[in-house]
Amino acid sequence: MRRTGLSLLLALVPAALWSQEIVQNATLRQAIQAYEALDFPQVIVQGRAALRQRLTAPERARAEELLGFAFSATSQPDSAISAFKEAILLDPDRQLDPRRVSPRITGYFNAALGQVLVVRQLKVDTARFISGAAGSGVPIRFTVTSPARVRTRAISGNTVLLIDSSIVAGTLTLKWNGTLASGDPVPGGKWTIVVDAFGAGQYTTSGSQELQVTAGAVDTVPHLTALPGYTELPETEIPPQSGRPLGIALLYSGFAGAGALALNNGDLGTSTGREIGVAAGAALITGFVMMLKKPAPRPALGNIQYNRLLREQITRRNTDIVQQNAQLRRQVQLTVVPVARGTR
Amino acid sequence: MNRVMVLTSLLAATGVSARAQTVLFGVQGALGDYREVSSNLRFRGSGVGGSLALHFGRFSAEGGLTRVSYDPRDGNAGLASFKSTQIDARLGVDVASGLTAEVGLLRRTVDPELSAQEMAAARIGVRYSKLIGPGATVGLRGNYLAGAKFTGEGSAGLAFELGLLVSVGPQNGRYRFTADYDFQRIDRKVGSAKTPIEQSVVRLGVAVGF
Repeated sequence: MRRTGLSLLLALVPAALWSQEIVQNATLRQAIQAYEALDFPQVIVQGRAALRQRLTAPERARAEELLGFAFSATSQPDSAISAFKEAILLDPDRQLDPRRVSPRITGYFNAALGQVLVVRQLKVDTARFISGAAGSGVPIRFTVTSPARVRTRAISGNTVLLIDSSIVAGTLTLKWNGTLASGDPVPGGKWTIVVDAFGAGQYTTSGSQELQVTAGAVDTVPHLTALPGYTELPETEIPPQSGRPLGIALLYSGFAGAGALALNNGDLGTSTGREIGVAAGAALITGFVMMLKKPAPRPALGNIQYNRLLREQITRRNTDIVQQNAQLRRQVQLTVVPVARGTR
Repeated sequence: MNRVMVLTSLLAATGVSARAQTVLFGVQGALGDYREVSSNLRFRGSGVGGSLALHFGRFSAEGGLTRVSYDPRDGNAGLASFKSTQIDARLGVDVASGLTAEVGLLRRTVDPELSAQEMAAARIGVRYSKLIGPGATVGLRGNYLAGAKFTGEGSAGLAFELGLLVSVGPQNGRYRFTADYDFQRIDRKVGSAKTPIEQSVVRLGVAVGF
């Protein structure tokens, strides 16, 4: 019963998964067919036979994995783990889909992972950053299956840069800031990230990721013409209509009339007042018309002060931007794109 | 007809003319009241005037001419009509907002000769103008008339003039309507005898700016 259930779980692994891979070796193809027919003893026979023949590395990894599945299905855990170990060593990035593979097989696979030292899942993201800037860099992520001293380097031609060296077990994420030992930006071109893991007993393994690095100028900050959220206010305002023009005209006419009256020489009699009357009338009419007319704009001192402060602030910000741009023009922006991936 | 005929003239334009203009030409109609020596010698009249005003930043120069035909006010027998021609010149400098210090000259002649006192004097004083609306100003003027000279003898220890100035027009200053009132009091003395003179003139006109 137990074997039948496991077989059914194994059967969940889609045959298409295997058929997608091109298998040249006839014996291996027979092993795959036996697996699809749930004939696990035959899988073991054909798989072992295939491994004795000349196979490509992917075919060899496939054969080992088939054996692992078959040993798991026939309750031979040690053999299954051993077969999985071989498969992992041949293809360190190989992993099982936990949604399609039974937990028992996944457990054997994980046990195999814990017994080998490989660098897996080395991934370098595409990134654009300013070389040497604090907190910037391209993320490098990988997994080491067993505790080991791991040395991560970037290599281009004769240039070898040490990115990190530490004892690692599990997944590690690093950031490469793209600088040479001198602090200068790395030149553009092909670079390779190489991760070497040194386990006990001088056993080593490594993974690598090739990158295309492009060096370019850093974008500068445009100058400000306005502060976001702040707009200049009109520097003139139209005062409300009032009787002030007429009042001023009345006042001035009164001054002139009273002055002429007060300064009149009594020896000469009194003036008819015709002349001052005409002038005062003209002044009052002017004042009355101006009282009815839309007042002239006058400076809005508060707004003028506000605009002056705003312009000073913009000037200050632009001065900062000039300094910032001068600094940015000395910097180099690196664009890192992973172009190929391989392990050895 | 005792009305004074219109003559072209140059006359001090109103101090409140459009400051934006460099040159301002004006023509005016004038009304006058002239009294001399006693309350029996009183004349009224009308006439014309002309003016030219130049503005150079804080500085201004104004000149004008006013001709008024005066008739005896009460039709008293024995008083003859005469024509008065007054020339005014002023140089000004703005010393504060709206406040202008002025110096200038005044000369008044009469025709026929000796029908009234001719005189000349220097003037020194201030003018203050106030904007009361778009293109409209009113102002006051006060001048002391110094060193007054007359065709007859005499001198004037106290002589001054008081003015009211009105100017209104479009804000571009291309043309303006003006009203200009001058009151003169001259306390002339001949020996110990008082022979005062007073004149009031109002000029209404239009000025064109360039």
